[in-house]
Amino acid sequence: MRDPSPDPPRIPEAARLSDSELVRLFVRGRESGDRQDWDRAVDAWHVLVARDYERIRGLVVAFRFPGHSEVRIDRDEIDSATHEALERCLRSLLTSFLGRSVGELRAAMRTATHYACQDHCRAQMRREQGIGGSIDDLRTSDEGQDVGRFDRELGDLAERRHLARTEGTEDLDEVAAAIEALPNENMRQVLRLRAEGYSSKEIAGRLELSPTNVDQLHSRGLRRLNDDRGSDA
Amino acid sequence: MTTVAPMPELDRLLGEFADAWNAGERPRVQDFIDRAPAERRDELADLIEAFLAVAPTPRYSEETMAELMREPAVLASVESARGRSGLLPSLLPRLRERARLRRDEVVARLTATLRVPGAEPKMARYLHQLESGTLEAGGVSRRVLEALASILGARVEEIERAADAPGLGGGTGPAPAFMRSVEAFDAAAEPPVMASAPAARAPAADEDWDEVDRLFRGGRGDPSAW
Repeated sequence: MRDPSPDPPRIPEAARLSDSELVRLFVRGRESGDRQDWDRAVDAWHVLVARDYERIRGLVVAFRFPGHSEVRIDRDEIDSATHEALERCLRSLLTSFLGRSVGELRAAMRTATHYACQDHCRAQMRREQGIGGSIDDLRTSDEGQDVGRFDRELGDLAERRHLARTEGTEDLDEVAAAIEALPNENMRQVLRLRAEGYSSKEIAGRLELSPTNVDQLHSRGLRRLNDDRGSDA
Repeated sequence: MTTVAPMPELDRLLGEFADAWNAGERPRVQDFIDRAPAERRDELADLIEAFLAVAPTPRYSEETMAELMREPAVLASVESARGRSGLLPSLLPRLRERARLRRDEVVARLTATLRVPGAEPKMARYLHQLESGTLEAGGVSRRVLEALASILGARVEEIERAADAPGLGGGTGPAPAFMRSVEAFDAAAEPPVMASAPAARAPAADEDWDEVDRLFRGGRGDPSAW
């Protein structure tokens, strides 16, 4: 276990800033080399990563290996994989991130998390192979079914396909454009309002729909967005 | 994404998750996936992933925000950004947890592997500094990195890559206060230390280095550390 932090985090200033302002502080601190800018950048990073911690953890839990949905992060490995994803996010933001907007930052985090999960699964399998057995051995899934460990070659192919997909959607502006391209006005409205933080009931009230209808339009809209991403690859 | 018929139960679960997310309640993704019928769990996972990609930052209360800022993985990431040890403050504790080893157990094994009997206290201090981001990672010898890799069940390249990762300040930022008390020098007044400049790590004339110092501060290619 890590040692507890001896001091309360210095949050009052940075925590009042918007995500956009924090991203600007982070980028400026990384690029200027000035000590005060650097201090502010670290504070900005602390708030940003705290605000996005649950998002990254959630992406880790929801991760399914491309083309092999039975390969996922084991439940007792979630904390470790989340830790790895945050490491990867930071490394990416310090070395290769060229964006300046919240959308670009979030897309970079999502991509970094996805790759970290893939690496975690590979490392896990290497360890299992080291323990013994074949990669094609059957194991029991959470649902109690016997499933095969994935074939390396197929996994690589699926990964390349997924890479092509995620690299094509590096900016959330593209997601916004995809929402606008949806054919159903209510679906567009639901996705926009969800992205602004409204609840099902609030959206239902605004659009004069039932909450059930809102939930249905929301999930159908997300399916459409995902299907469009897949067909663009 | 599958193309099977939509299911009201999944719509409802996703809606419930999104409401809890936006309200800043930190909903657990796994709990929601577990509530879906077994044959539809991957579909719900896909939907939640798609939602998280575009979801707004939740309306966290101050209390929740303070909790999030103290999450071990968040603190480790901040220490990595702030410190001089690359990504080692994030990587080493995680590897230690995975190997189910306490820090004192790693110290004991490190002391034995590096054949420096009796050096446990100093070794413990250096390991603590590496995990806290206060030791300049470029000074750590490859022999130490190899020993750590072996003890923690990792590849040495992984540890080396983490050690070489730049921090936000590139090593020029102020060291945390506790380092000044341990090391008895004012890091804030110290000139920048470049990882590739062995001379910058050379001991001061009045500083008495031993083998442990050379192992942790002598540099990656320092032959005297072998």
